Amino acid sequence: MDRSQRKDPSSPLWLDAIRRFERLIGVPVERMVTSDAYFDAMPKLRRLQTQMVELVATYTDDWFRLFNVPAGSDVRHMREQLSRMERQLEKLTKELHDREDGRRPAARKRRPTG
Amino acid sequence: MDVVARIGRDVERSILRARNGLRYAQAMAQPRSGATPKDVVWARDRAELWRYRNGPIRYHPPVLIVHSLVSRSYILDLRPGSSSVEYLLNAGFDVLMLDWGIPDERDADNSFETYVDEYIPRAVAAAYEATGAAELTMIGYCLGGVLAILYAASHADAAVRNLVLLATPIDFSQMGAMVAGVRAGRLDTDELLDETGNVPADVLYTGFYMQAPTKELAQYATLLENLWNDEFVDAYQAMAQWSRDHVPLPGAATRQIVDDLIRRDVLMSGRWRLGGRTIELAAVRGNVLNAIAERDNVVPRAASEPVSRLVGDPERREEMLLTGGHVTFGAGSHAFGRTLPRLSAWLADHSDELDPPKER
Repeated sequence: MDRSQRKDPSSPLWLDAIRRFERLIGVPVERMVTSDAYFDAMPKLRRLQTQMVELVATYTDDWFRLFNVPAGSDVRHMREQLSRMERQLEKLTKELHDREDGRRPAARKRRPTG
Repeated sequence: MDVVARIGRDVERSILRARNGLRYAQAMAQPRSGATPKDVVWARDRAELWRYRNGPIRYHPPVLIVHSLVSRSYILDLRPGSSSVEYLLNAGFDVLMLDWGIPDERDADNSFETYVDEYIPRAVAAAYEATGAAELTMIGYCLGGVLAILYAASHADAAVRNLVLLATPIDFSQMGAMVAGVRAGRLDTDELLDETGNVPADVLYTGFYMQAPTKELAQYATLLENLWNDEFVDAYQAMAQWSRDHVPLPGAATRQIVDDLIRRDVLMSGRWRLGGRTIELAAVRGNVLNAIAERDNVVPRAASEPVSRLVGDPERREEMLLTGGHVTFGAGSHAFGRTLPRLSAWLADHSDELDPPKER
């Protein structure tokens, strides 16, 4: 490669080579992962993956429970339930705080911390 | 340079490379991101309003930055010497940041209404109280820009003198690969959510990463070449840490983004029905600056250009094309040297100069 043709004359040859190599593979890869074909295939692959996980779970869950061990789906359900409960608690706490704020005099000054 | 001097320089750099390489591998020298001293002046749930400490304030009104929902706000306070916040403070502005924190399962029901009608008005009231001002300049970055527009357009008491919109998407049909996976007929919102009800941070990270999946190779090679340079390593680490550090996106807001903003491209109609009323984007009363990054591949120019046609009063709209990409045009050393001086000058032109400067 002619050194005068390189973008940055101070950068070493090996670095230029890596940058050129990266662009050589990067351009087609970027074209592929931003194409309609990729985005059409992605949801199908993701759904397939979810189905596979569910399929495996249908076979393994009973075994886990047989030994009184929680299965992955049990943990997931529990986390979902906990999340719902957390949100309800948060909502109630906010409502309480807002009511308290509403009862306080409007002129109350809040000072910066620190 | 003679041969002996070159050999001496290369030996010295090799030693420094080895030292910095070890530090980097062991994560010993973490960048000091978000280091500008600040006070928390308001908090609600995970959201906080910070007021940065500064010297004499030369301009009025104060500047309130509304950050995006999908990234960490320390990108605007990346590290001492290349922090956008620090730049604005040194220019004499009173700077506040509305940071959304790290959403968790308690935030899954957060919709645009939660941000526009619950958090922002309260944060603005706290900003008035903390600064003593009765109006402010609002800077919205990326999705934070959409929130800022919606707030300024829908609240009759919103005293926003200047609304600066950095890389703010309006035309989601032009968002390209960033949103292609959730267009009609592809992934639905429910398929993106985890058991907390939010889109996990790694899904968002993958979305950004897949824009240029091989770029890291060249970046690591450039790091290796510059490993002797403490300044370069520090800047690289700070930016690399931020780009991997995404936050979960609340499920309810995601549903609105996918259904209304992406699939119906509702903002291009100039209005959005939200919280039981229709918000007209043209109802923003202050000066509007649409700051667009030339090489933005996250929010392409075509996606943010309609801000200049749809938001605010046509007589008070301006557009500024800035060098850099989605992140580098507003943050880091590139912004510090090239774009922030222009933004800061615009802010100064649209603010009142205090004579004498006000002490905090």
